Amino acid sequence: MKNDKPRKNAFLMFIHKMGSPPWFYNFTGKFVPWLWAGFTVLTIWGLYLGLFKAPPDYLQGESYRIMYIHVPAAWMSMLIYIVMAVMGFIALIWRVRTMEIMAMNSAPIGAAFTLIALVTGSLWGRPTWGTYWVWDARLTSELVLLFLYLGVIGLYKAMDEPRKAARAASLLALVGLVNMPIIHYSVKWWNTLHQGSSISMTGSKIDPSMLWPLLIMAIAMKFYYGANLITRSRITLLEQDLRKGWTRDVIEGTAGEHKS
Amino acid sequence: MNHAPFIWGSYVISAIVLLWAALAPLVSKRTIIKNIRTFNQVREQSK
Amino acid sequence: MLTESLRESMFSAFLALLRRDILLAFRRRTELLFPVAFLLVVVSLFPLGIGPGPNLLARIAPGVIWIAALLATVISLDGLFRSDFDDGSMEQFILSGHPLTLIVLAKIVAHWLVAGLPLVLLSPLLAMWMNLPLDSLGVLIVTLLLGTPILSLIGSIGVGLTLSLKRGGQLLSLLVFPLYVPILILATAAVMAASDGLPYGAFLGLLTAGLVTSVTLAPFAAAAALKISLS
Repeated sequence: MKNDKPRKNAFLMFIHKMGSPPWFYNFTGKFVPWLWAGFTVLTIWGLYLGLFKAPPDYLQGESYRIMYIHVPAAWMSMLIYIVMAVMGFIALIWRVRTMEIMAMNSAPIGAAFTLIALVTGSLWGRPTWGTYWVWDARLTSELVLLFLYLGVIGLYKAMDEPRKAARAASLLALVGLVNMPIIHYSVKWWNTLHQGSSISMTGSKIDPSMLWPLLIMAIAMKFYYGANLITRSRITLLEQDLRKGWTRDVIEGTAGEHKS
Repeated sequence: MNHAPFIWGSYVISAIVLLWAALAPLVSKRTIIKNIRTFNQVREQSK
Repeated sequence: MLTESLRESMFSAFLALLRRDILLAFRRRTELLFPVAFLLVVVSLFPLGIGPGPNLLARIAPGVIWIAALLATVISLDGLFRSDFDDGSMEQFILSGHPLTLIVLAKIVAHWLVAGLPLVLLSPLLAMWMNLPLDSLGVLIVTLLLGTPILSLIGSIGVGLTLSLKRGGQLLSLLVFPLYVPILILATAAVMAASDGLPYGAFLGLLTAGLVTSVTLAPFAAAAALKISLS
């Protein structure tokens, strides 16, 4: 019980600090190069293992190698939606502007991953099923997810006042999050109902030599998300605070020596 | 069927999308920084 | 804990608002007919576009009727809060001290009674046009009875969010259609199962669960959306 209070205060302190634009700008800026570096190294490593080292699949031949981008992108598309909705929730409850900005900047990145999952899934479908589009459960779910993302982005862009827009779009993201499992399972179930036994794209058993590159690529994509999200959020902060003193200090590199 | 074009196509398209998502904000950053500079210049002059 | 008198006053406010909305809707009778006419036109386009083959029409009937109902609902949704928002009544409601969630629920119920219920009543005609087997007509009506209120409830969140936009109606469909996917799947699956002589009770049970869940959650979300739009 006694430990509870300071811990909570530390958390609130962190949220409070994150809410201060100059602090956020400088603090997160330090991570960006490292995140990009991690992304680059992991991607090169994962692609080398996945595209050149891993053996061909005994059923699908070489085409399964699309998995190393398709599956991480599909994972990211769902993860980013959840993260966006949770940040939106924090933004709605505590009205932290930086959280609003991060939630809203997650949307285009998530939509990009959804698009990648759709396009690569469709390119994977051609050699596997002989057609570019099948109403397979995962592709259909991704398509609905893309619409959810487009709704959030559309609502955010349609409103003039950025903070009000962010709150409205955050609420929409939250409603979408509640619906996401229902949509996911209903689409899955709809698919089995109408197609009987469909061919699944990913086999049930994966050899470790095929699994490692997949995990490395999945982590690489998380680095990409982190780096891209911070980059975008810092730029949005500059844009919104165009008229405030700290933005000039930051871009002229005179932070600290500014005299009012 | 030759699978190579589909595999390489997937990775090329993914690379393009990821690069575009990473570079698009940097383009807008340049105009924003320019806007901040002009705003502050105008304010300095009007003082 | 609500005292008896407070509960009574909330209930009477709910009823008063419901009556007011229905009366207002009937004062503009022609506008009331737009979604209904829209539904009829959309469904009649399918035989024209696909061909009058009775078997094919019967096969796609549940999907066509349900998609037309989704479209008609979205068209009528735009008016859910619009006039109250434009003439300032919405702010009055909020100032009245009654919980906004209750007000929103009353407006949703009124909306369903004037826009959703006519769709249900028209469904026998649509089923006849689409050559739907008579045995599954009952199931179609039940799915519409359970499903169209969910459409109004979920739709009210989207309307609340787009209210302050000039062209909110165009964005609304993008916001709500993805959320309608599970209802469309469940409802059409139930009717198709009935047509094929398969058990359909589970689908209706899930739809009922969806209705109960959305009645309890959607008004809160819609009220929160309205507050953001009015801020």
